[in-house]
Amino acid sequence: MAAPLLDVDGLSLEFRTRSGVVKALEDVSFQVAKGEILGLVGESGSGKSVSAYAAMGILDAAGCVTAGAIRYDGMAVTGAPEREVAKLRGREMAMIFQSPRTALNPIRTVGDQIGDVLRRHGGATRQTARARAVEALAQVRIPDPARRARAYPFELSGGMCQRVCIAMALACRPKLLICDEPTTGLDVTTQAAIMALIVELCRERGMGALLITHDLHLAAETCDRIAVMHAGHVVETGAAADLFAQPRHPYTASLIAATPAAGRTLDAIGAIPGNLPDLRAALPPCRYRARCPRALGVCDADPLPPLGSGHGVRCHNPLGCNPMGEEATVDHAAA
Amino acid sequence: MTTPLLEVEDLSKIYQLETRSKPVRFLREWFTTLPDHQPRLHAVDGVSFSIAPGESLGLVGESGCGKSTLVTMLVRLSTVTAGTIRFEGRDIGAIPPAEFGRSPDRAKIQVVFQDPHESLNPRDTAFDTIAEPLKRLLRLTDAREIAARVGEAAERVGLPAALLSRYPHQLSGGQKARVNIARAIAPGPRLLVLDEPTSALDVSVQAVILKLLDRLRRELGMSYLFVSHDLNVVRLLCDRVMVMYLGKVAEIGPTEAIFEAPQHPYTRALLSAAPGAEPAGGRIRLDGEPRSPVDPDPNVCRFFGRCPQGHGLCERQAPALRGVGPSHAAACHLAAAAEAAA
Repeated sequence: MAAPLLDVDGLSLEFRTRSGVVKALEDVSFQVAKGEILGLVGESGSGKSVSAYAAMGILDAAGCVTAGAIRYDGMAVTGAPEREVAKLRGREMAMIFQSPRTALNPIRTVGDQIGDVLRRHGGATRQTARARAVEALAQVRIPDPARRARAYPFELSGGMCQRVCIAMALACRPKLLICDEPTTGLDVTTQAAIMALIVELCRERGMGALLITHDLHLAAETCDRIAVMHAGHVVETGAAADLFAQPRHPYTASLIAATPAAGRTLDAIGAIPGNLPDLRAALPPCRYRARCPRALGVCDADPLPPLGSGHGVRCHNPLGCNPMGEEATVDHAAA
Repeated sequence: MTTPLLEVEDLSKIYQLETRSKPVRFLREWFTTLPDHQPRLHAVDGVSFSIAPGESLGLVGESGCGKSTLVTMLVRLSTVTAGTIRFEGRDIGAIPPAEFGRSPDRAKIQVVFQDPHESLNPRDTAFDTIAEPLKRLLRLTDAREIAARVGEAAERVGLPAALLSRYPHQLSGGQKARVNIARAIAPGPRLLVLDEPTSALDVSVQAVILKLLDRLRRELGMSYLFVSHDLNVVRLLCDRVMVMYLGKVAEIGPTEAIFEAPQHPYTRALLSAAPGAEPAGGRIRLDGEPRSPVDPDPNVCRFFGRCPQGHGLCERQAPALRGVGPSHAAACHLAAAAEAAA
């Protein structure tokens, strides 16, 4: 197999705040290959966005990587000088942020803003920037792109603004696209159109994408592989179809059970008890321990089993295997 | 038949768009006698529906279709251009928004706003927030009575009494959602307008809040107007669903009928676009931009141009809402034709 486009390897990350050290990520690993869409799912506060920000090298100054590495196309992003990482951003990897209206500059036209990106990273000149911005807008199927390029963000609908953000991210033909909840707050019809566009671009250009979302249906539909995060751990990873058909981590299973779906009554939806643990406090090896219905004695003492390849799970007592003796379970998980 | 709790008839909200600056208008008036056409935006256009006591009506549609405008008119935060709003038989549509704050009906219609994080005053404790409508709308002054009512509302929504002295930043998302709901139910409303109550919440909390809302409706006998993007959630909580498109009702009917046999092409597109849905005939993709709500041609169907099935008639005559099944109506020429053929 070729080297992955983005390789996050055993990443641990802390934020040093006034109220203590927040252990935001611990031993997080995931890969995105060319042409592949990886979904990062989990509750808010589980470390999805922080992982993406770390990959883009745009972490808050209080954040500090304590272990592990992020490699983009073989080059280390963590520890690299800011100049080198800045070269990657925009040209090699681009990001779509959660709220398109706040991501755009309200007092400049969208055409100018896309032009800026093209002039900075795409080798456009002042003369060609305008035409290329219009071209970029046309690519994301904005009707009447020449007129829309002269519009200010407030003149466009939410869906349009998000398309502008996507146009901006795609303007320099990046190899990796990081989407942080790209369709939250958009209509389902707009969401379907935007996700179809992202998928199409991945297939056509062989672009890799990291899709951060808490909408499990959306992830199941769009992504090739899924990584489930909980409180700064990747607890399960696997092909989207496998993971949703046969979740192995109890957290994944309860997330799926909590999602309203067609044909599911209100009584059939289960809530997940408890909250995410306080990441400032001392934590047990498994951060899901306190909420887990399948916790065993071994969960308090032993470190989590490694994720492994394929459909991997970091749990001593995963679903779909015999929850009999503790040793048998551990063996199974380690195998 | 019992009288509906809320009866809305032919409700419209039309905004006059100011396109000329004052000096230009002045000069124009001075020098020309030509009629000055000012564009008008039809945000809500002739909407009629009713909600029975204890019933839950879902309101869906894309942003810009007039859902929020409709809601602001119903809770009397904005004026009505035309049409009537009858609440418990009384016409409340004519009361100016500024006066409605003093109307006894104001306490009977309450709203739970979209984002539980942003709709709480950061400088008020949970107790103050829940007590506010009791003081303002019910004019309660006795501190002991207020405390008792706040405690009762908090208990109903499952908010531990120990949390009442906390400020919003000290509460979790689910707890803030509970404070919002407690604030809305404290003055004893008959109609609760829920504007995307769970869209800002995590799935883990969403299920709990949905169950809470369902239980409260049965316990307190309230009616719900449930505004949401999430069709799966609407399906769980609503008896009937109303689909809006560009200021008009596209389809209205019992939840199961809408989900199982949608008659309007827009409803079908909406249902097929929902993630997790596996439409039989594949996903319907809506191409093109919606028509402009500014001065819409009254003889063209609002959905024409995006509709995968639009034909000649749709461009000549706007379809009226007509019955397509038991208490199920759709505004589409094709839906009606299908009914006649069947």
